[in-house]
Amino acid sequence: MSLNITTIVGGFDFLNNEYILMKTYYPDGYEIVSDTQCHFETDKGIIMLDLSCSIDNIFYTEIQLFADRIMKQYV
Amino acid sequence: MTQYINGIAVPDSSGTSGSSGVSGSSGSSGVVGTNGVAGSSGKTGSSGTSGTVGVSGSSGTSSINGTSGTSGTSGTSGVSGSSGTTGFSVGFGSSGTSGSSGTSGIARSTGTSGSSGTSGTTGTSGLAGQPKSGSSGSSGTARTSGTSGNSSGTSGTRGSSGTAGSSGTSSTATSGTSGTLRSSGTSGAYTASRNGRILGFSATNSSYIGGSTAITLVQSSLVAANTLPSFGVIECNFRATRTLQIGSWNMYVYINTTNSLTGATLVNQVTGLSNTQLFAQNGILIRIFSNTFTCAASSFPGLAFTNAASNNSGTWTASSAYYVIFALKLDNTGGNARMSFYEIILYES
Repeated sequence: MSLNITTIVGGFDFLNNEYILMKTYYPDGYEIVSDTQCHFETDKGIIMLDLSCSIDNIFYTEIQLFADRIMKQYV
Repeated sequence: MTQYINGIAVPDSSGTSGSSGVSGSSGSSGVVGTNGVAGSSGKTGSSGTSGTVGVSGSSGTSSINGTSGTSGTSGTSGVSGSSGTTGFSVGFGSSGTSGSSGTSGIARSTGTSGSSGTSGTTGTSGLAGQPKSGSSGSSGTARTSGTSGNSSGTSGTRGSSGTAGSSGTSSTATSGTSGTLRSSGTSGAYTASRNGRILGFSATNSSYIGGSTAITLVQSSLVAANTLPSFGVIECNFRATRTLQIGSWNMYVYINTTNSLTGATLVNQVTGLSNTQLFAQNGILIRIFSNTFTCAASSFPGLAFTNAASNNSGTWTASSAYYVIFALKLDNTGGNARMSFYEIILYES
């Protein structure tokens, strides 16, 4: 089942939970852990997201592009 | 035979009338009418008897015997023999047949239709009365049961109070079960909390992971909602092993409201386990504080979280159920690894 991530100012909304991106633990705010998975540092902890999720209803096949799209919301 | 009166041949015609007397014998058939007597009109049959008189007409024939002469005058009387014709009236005897109308007496059977006896059916309706009485009888039964019901009912009421007594027994049993007391015993978990309360445990080997470098969920344990206190510490110990010494490998702990890594919150990770390390054990302490957890982000053995910069922290809402997820990751697809043990212990504070 695919899940959608909705971008918001400063972060994203996932399953009706808003996450604000942070860069206190990871210098870049994220860590790619595999070809399909990435850890994102947020105000609610480090969240695992993967390519099974779409971002604003767009699917990605490259984890780097996926991470970049998320981190684009960082302010 | 020719008769002679005063020497004159007299026709036998008068004698002929005598023969009509014979027809009087048909009066005997009137006797049959007597059978009609079975009917009240049998009396008419007796008129048949008068037919017998006709027979006496035949005695007119005997007047033939009067052949002896003068009696020929009496032959005139033989005319009276024609009265024998009256014998025909014997035919009335046949009216005795009307005696058969006595059969109409059978009509009495209509009397049998004293089927007014059918009105006896009314008697049946009397039966209808029986059901009433019968039903009332049953109600009588009800009365008996009612009576016994009263008595037993009264005692029944007391019995129910007796039941209350038995519930007293069951209350003894429940106290024996300490069901309620156990729930208070649950609060006894309060006492147990000082010794640690097991939230999850497994000593079963998971399947080996291999052929991928993705973080892979290998085991998980559900922590029910409203389990966590406002303040407390969770100790989590887990072990993993491998047989193929190819590439380094990593251990992770996440929490999530679903049993999935997607969207899971990282609690702790131990990375860079060497390719020659066949066994790894990690112990972490997770601090619970107002729906938030804090844990040493990456440590080995990971029992301390003194350096805030290396802490993982995230939301763990006590009112929600969470899966504690154990995951492994290979850095080389040729390697392998599996979980062999985990335990999750809650200490309230």
